Amino acid sequence: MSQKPYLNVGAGRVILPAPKPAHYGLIPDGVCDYALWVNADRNAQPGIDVVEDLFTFPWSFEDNSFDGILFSHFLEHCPHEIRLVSEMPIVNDIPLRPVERKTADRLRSMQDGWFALMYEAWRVCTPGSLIHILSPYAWSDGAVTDPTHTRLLTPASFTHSMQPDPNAPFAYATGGLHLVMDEPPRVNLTPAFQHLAGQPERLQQALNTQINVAYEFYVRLRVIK
Amino acid sequence: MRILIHAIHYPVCSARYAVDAFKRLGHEVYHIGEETGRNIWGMQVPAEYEWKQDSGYIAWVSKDLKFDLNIVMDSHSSVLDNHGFKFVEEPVVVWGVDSHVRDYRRPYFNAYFLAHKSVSIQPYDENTFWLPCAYDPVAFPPSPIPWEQREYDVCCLGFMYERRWKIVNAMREAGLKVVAGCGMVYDQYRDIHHNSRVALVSSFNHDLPIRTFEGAGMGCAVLSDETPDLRWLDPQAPIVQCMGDPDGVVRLMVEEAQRLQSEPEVAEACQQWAASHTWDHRAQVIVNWFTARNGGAA
Repeated sequence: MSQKPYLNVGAGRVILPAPKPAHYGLIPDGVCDYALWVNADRNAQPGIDVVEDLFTFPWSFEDNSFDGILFSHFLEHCPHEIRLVSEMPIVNDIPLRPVERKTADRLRSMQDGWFALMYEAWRVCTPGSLIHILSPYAWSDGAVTDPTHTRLLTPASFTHSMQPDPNAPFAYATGGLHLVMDEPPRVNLTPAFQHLAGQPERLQQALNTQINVAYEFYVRLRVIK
Repeated sequence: MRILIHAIHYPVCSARYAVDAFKRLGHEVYHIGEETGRNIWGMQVPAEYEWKQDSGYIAWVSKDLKFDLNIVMDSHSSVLDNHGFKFVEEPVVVWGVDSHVRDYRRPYFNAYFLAHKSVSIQPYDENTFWLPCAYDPVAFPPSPIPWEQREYDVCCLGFMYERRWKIVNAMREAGLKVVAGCGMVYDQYRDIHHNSRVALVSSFNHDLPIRTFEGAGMGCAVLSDETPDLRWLDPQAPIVQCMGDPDGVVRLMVEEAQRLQSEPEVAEACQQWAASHTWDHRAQVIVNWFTARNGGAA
């Protein structure tokens, strides 16, 4: 069949499709309503279709398996080390899986666990797919104080080394993934800065210079293949 | 007859079905309009579903080809307010499936064929005719899957506003296996219906949507809320309608969905009923109007 499901990465207790949860406000209407979802998490809970640690690689999904991905408050937990599914200690009874030498070499050659994760997302998506990302905004209490957060993210994190660029001053090993942000990012503002919602220039200045201006952001990436 | 259909070229739209219907009836059909590519409903569908305008665009602009009939099949102002229609000699009619939310009236249209009657916001006059929605029997044939082997008890495919989720969740809590959501088109939409016993249709406007005919045509038992136009169209239609206060309707729909699981004859009756409600039948009405207008010549 031509249409593929969407992948809900690190679904937790939000099993899709479902009415859009209130805390998904920045995610466009209709995404949560898409009829076909694969809900994946490393904890087996009601509604989880695939029990897998998605911070280990490669993912079990074939290339071009999905027409979209949702990362909701997932990416900020991504480890820096590249963990292969053949080597990780068993967690939650998730069995180890063998990995081909070629695949292992490719993954290990990547610059950071970040690129291994984004590469896997790119790999399992069909061309033109959309990757929806919701994450805490870096310069906010929520992003900084959670001890499980391994990295601080802003929308700019998704324009850095996300596509081939022969003119880049540095060449991170990304596996050749190609993702582009195809619409402006959106942010949720803290109450003290709600008044800047309709003033994009002042808002950007505040985001560049102050903390706790935004607590969450949404970006949408298009898969280019 | 040579027909030119004007519509925005979404991957999924009634105009696309109409083009195929007129062609099956043996007419020469062209279509023109803005192309949206793979985009619809805030998502992208596979590239194979893109709909591109054909050489009708060039024919319309260059006037090399003379059309017998123009049919406007879009409610967007960019189509309805095309002032080029003022200078067209041949008739221009509207075939509107959104008459429950749109008023199509413009000075340069000769007739209106509207899909909704009791919930129409456009009044009916001597040039306005009721032409209900329908389904495409080629794109959505009857299910080949035996009743007992279908995977889903109920399917509800479409934009999921709150009321639909309420009904779906109530059905799931009652133990029914329900597939629900939006974004499915053509093959996937068809395959899910083929694998379902009951097609749930709930429209907040109480209109008679395309989905009713498609679900019936694909061999599902169609479960709907109150639809006045259906009683106008055919009081004997085997579509199961649930009426009452909103919460009562939810309870009733759950009960009916459970009952219909063991009544494949209802689905068979729906399928036979839908055979007379295809886009081809609707297209023929417009052809008949044109023929009568031309004194019997088509």
